[in-house]
Amino acid sequence: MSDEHKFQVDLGGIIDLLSNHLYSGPEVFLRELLQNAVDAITAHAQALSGHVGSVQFETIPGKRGLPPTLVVADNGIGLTSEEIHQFLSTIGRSSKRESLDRDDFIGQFGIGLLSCFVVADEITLITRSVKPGQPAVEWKGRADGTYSLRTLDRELAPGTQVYLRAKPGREAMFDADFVFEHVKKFGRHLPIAVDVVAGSSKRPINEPPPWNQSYRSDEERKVAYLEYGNEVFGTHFFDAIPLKSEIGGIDGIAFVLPHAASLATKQSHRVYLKQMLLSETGEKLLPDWAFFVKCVINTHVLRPTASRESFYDDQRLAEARDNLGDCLRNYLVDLARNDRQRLDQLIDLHFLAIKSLAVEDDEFYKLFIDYLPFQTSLGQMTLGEYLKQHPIVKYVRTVDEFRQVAGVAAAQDFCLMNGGYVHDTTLLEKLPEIFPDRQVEPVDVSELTDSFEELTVNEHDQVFDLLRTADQVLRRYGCQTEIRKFQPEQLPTLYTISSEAGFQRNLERTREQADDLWSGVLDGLAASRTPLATAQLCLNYRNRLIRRLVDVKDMSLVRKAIEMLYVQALLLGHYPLRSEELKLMGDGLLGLIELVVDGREKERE
Amino acid sequence: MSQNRLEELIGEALSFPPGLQKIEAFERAIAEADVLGEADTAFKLRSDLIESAIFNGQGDRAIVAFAAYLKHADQNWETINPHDLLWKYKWILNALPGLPQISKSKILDMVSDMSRRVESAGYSQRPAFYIRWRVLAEMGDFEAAAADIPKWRSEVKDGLQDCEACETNAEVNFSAETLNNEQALEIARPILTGKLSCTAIPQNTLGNVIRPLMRLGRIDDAVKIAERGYRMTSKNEAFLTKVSEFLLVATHTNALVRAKRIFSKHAIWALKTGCYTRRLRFNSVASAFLKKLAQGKLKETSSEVSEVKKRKATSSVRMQLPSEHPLYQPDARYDIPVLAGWYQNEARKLAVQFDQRNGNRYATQCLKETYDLAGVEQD
Repeated sequence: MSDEHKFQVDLGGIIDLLSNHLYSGPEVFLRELLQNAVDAITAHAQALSGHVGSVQFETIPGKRGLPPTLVVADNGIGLTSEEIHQFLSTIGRSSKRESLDRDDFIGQFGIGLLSCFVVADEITLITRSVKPGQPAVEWKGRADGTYSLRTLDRELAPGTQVYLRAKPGREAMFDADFVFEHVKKFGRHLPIAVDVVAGSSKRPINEPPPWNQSYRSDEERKVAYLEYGNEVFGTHFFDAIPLKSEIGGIDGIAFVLPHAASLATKQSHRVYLKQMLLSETGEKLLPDWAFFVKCVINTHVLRPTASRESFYDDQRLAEARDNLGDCLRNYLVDLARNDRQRLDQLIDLHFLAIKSLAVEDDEFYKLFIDYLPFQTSLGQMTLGEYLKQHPIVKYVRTVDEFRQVAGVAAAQDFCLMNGGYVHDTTLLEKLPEIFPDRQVEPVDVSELTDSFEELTVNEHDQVFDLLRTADQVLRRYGCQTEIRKFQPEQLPTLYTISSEAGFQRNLERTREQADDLWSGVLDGLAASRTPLATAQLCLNYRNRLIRRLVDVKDMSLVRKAIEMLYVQALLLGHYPLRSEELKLMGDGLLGLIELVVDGREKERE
Repeated sequence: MSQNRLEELIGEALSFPPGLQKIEAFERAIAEADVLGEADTAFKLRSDLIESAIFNGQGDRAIVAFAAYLKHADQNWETINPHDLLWKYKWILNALPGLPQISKSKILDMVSDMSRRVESAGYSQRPAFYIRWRVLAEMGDFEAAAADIPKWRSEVKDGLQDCEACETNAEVNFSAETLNNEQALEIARPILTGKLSCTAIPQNTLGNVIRPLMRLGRIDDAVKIAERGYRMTSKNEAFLTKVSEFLLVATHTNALVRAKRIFSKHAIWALKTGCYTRRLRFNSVASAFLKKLAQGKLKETSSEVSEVKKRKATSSVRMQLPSEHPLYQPDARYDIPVLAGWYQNEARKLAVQFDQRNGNRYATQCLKETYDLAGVEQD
């Protein structure tokens, strides 16, 4: 025969766990009390239509050095003594779980009342059920896990009162202003009257949310929304956009940030569930591209996760998110059609978000692409401005490639776009698909020099030896040589390297330093890449030094010079040197010193 | 002056959202730190780069950074957190089988190296056995992998093990790869019902159960899972294999618009990924899709369920492909049979490379299964 035993649960430990880990702060007990009251009133109204609920938080200062007391009273459905045994005294079980339609309630986790033990050692609850013939009962629960229950022979109206006396160190949380501030934070938009009472003062916390109010004009609505945004987030927002989605039962406001937001930031939103504050850091409510707004929303339907920070990522949330995205999209489209000036201001701040949407949405792309700014070698300009002057959009794909050539391109008056920032290449390459008459052309950095001025046939003859020598010298470093005429004249060379060649260069440099085990792996990695990627050193025929080199007959001197020009180009471009290049630099410097010394000595002779 | 440049480059890298651009920005910053001789900064940046690259499908870039990272760590052992290093080592080892040029024996040598390091850091061998059976399975050596699984299970969890969701997913994947379809779905149950999750789960599992479902003929379920899965994976290159599985479902169900959208949106990932297993999977499914498209077997819209209109076989289609594509057309008009042939060729070449490295026919068999499940005849 087996013995049945029961776990011993240490309630103190659980409470500690709740207060320190699950709840965001000790003030959460106010939220839980408010939530229980609201749920009790909702249940009462379901049983008796037309029932008007109200909740009162009363703070009573302690007399003769005793701690203060908080009394929370509601006229909700109340509990019978049987229900108390069943629900209040079994941790984790909630009266809301099995009864009625749970979607009508805010709380779902049945551990709310426990949070009171974070601020009080004892909870006293006096309640009378709305069910006929039920007496009022008093339940006293203590933090050590014991409780007592007795029937009262007083006549009480149906409802519940919770009495808490502050435990040492928690008195500040029973202060009337503290209670008012937090109850208001959690419940200001509730449709049920909630008052905070202290002595003869009675302060209602309720304020209907701005999205439930009517306004005489859109302008008046906007002003009211922006004031609300400023009050909630302490920010003067650029604009306010009404949000609505039937799916998810969502109403709210999106506030356009007055400053640019980076793509890497995630906005957190203020979320109300059935008009009670659920989270100030809600996520996943808007599409990814909508990182330029902060929202306040209320949902009647979505299901929160246990952390209360977000919602179950189900089909319903996905559809609601699309609907809210449409609200923002419509706002932008409306601006594009009716208020270009305002749109330009908004694009100035938030072009990254608008680009993110344009990547996903062809219709939107069509409407916005010409207004969006891109970086070019001749400064920032919109695609529309670019296309007015240049029939074909020429661009490089990475920031690194752009930086290598932007200065030189500008000096030739060549307008080259930087496709390296997030979305830019994708947006540019979408152009011919959306507008069949428009053309784009990716530029390989090494091919850019093809567009520079060619040498004459005569000049070509002159540079033949120089170029051949340079090619012999640099080929072993994976670098080709070219010669052209370009601006600025002071620049002797232009070093370019594609991002694939740059990666291989990096790989090679790492391999030189790795131990046997890893160099073998890196060899394997190198073998899997396209082998033809090389860098290019383009000599500038307009440069004085290069012109002088053309005339030098001593080929060993030319070789040295080319090696040093190559190393100088790498250093100018901030490329870490491979070991053989470091050696080149060392040998080259020594060689130059030798040459100078030799020259001096010859002079002296 | 250069110090400012370094700070600017770091700031730029941090401001980019996850993706290839962020990784390249980290590489620029690392180069600058190396030029300046800022070894500690370079080490931290490499650590960031490795994480970013692993979670965004650029294993090759992570491997290069890790080689330098490990060297610095070995030289500065007293200042290194071994837990961090070994975690990264796990990621790197997972990425190695994706490169067919790295031999099987080399990969197993690396696993042994990691195993020694795990031991000297005082951890149980659980992570080493785990990595071992997973890389063996990825190389199609299921017998050797199966022999390691009980050893893995018997080792204690002491902080270096994957989370429960990821470990469960690995077992789902193993069952799926060894054609134990019902078992795969059974193991996946706590993940599919939402009981187990982490940052990469259920995304990975949603992709891993596609083939078991299709093999069992449960196409409706596969469609539902594919819709849910695609929503959660379409923004992260690390999920390229999973996205390919969702494209396979769209191809099987003849959902032209959906398949075309998935194909053209993710073609760039396959071109740029440093993981050739992922590229092979995408290219296989893409060639199946394009073949069906060329044969006029796909529906005009994905919502047309009732009637499959037999379209005339078309030879060209307009869609956006990245300019890096060898067949890139600036006017966005593509010859489908040519495109299909290119993808088939690429897939076959890669499959042969993998089979040579693995010493079996696993990659070619997977390719064949892709065509079977998509409903295309292999010529």
